[in-house]
Amino acid sequence: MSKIIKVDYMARVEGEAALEVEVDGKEIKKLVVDVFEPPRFFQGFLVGRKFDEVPDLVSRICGICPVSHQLTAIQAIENAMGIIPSLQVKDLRKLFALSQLIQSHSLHIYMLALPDFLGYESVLAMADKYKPVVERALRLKRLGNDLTVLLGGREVHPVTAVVNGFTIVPSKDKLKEIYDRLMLAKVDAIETVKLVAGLKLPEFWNECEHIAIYDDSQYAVNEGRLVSTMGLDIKSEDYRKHIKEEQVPPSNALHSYIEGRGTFMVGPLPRLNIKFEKMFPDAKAIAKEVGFAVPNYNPFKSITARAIELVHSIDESIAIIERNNFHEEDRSFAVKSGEGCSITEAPRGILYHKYAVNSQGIIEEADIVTPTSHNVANMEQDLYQFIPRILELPDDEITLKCETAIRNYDPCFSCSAHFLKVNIKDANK
Amino acid sequence: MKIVVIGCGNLLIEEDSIGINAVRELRKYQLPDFVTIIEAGTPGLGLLDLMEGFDKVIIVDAVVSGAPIGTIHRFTDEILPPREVVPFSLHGFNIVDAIQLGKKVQPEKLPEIVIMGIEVGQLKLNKVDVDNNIKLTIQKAIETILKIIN
Repeated sequence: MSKIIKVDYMARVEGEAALEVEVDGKEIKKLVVDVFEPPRFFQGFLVGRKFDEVPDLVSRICGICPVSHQLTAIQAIENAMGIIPSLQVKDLRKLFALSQLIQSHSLHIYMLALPDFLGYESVLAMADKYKPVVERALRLKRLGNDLTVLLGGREVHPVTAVVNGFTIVPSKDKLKEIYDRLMLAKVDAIETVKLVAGLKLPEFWNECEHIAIYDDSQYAVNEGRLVSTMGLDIKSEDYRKHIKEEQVPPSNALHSYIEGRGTFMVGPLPRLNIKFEKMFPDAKAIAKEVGFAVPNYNPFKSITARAIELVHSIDESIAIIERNNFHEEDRSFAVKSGEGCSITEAPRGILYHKYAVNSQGIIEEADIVTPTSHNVANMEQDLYQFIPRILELPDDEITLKCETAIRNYDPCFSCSAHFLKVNIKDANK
Repeated sequence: MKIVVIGCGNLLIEEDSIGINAVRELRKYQLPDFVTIIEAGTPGLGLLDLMEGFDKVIIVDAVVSGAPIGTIHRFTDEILPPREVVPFSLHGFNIVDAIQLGKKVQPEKLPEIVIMGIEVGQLKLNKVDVDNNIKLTIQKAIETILKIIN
């Protein structure tokens, strides 16, 4: 019997994409995750702009991860000009990145993914029965937002992060206020891990290559070597020698693959698989308490990994505030020509920016690869293996499970388009 | 009485920019100290945070409902527009979803809500000029906002 699975417009993801699958018996004849979100040509229009305009412009790539795009661009430009930021700047940047991770993870866990596993259409439908849970979600998200505002001047498209520093450092009073809230939020984060660990997630194992950035001294977020579960271990400068992209019509998102190997996964699950030991003790402890062990290759466990990262992010934010006495610093530097790149961990996985800058500080070349671009081809690979196991289910359940499998990645198709609809149709009906 | 006027929209999309352009125009007026203006872009659930601590919120946003272009629809938290007529969302949450979630989970934090939905016909992506019809509608919206404030 042949079957066509179609989702014309994926819900609870950022941006626009569709899924179409044709099945004959147990064999998948066609499987396309089609990102129809229109491309926005950022790489093209950055060329010719001055280096200091770039952080503001690239923050517009995404309303969810503006901090990641800003920080990655800034670090790539610094790398191009030979600027080495201070330790305080590195700590402020990490706190900034963690703030975005807290807000993005709380939004995804509670608002986008949880309705799938609790059997609701949306968080709105869930709110009557699970009011305290949704209240917790809003508290956590608000905390992340407020920390972003404290460091970045505003929540969306922040303005304070610049080459070689921040235009404003947060005041002691404001930091103390957010520090007290982080201490209280720890309970919410622990409860989040317990909640998601109690969900009935599909048993599915796809031992694909997982990639994350790694650093011996810390749980790497803004800097580190690019490391995989299958032996890749390279400097960020060598990214393009190993990670390639191809256009696969009809999708507007480029598909990433590792030269000579194939697709790979980035995001919270790969991060835990690669650098779990670098997490703060309470994150590791709660993982152990709920029975989460690494390596774990069940993509549906991404929600658990995300929740454990929430605990880590709160603890590391507290530690950064405790060890610093933030003060104004000299941000001067000389504009130089050069090429430079940076790879960071955005909430959804590794983000790559590379720029060539001339001696006047004008951008001559820009190359940006987002986490969802890294993941799109792997989403298809997950589905190739997952769908044959669920074909006995009713069509509406197959469709929902396919959507859930894609939402494991917390995809941001707006950023990747350079992409979600799902379609399931029985060809015999 | 603390009032916040929140403009929603995207400046890079002509018709959707109407909320942002309206609050920018409003900034040119001498407004009482108890009035705060926020350019919110596409705030999604963040709208709940933006409204918190105020007694009244006036949200200005584009709507596409099929009414004549320039029609100013006025909604409240009791009579919300159908979510489909507010064209843009963040992660699938638009202003109607955010307010409905706020009503269910934290009604005590919600101020009195007025939504000024400006009918814009249809949305054309990547066109940044604001034409005269839209400018006239913005002026009409501002007069209404000033009446509410005063």
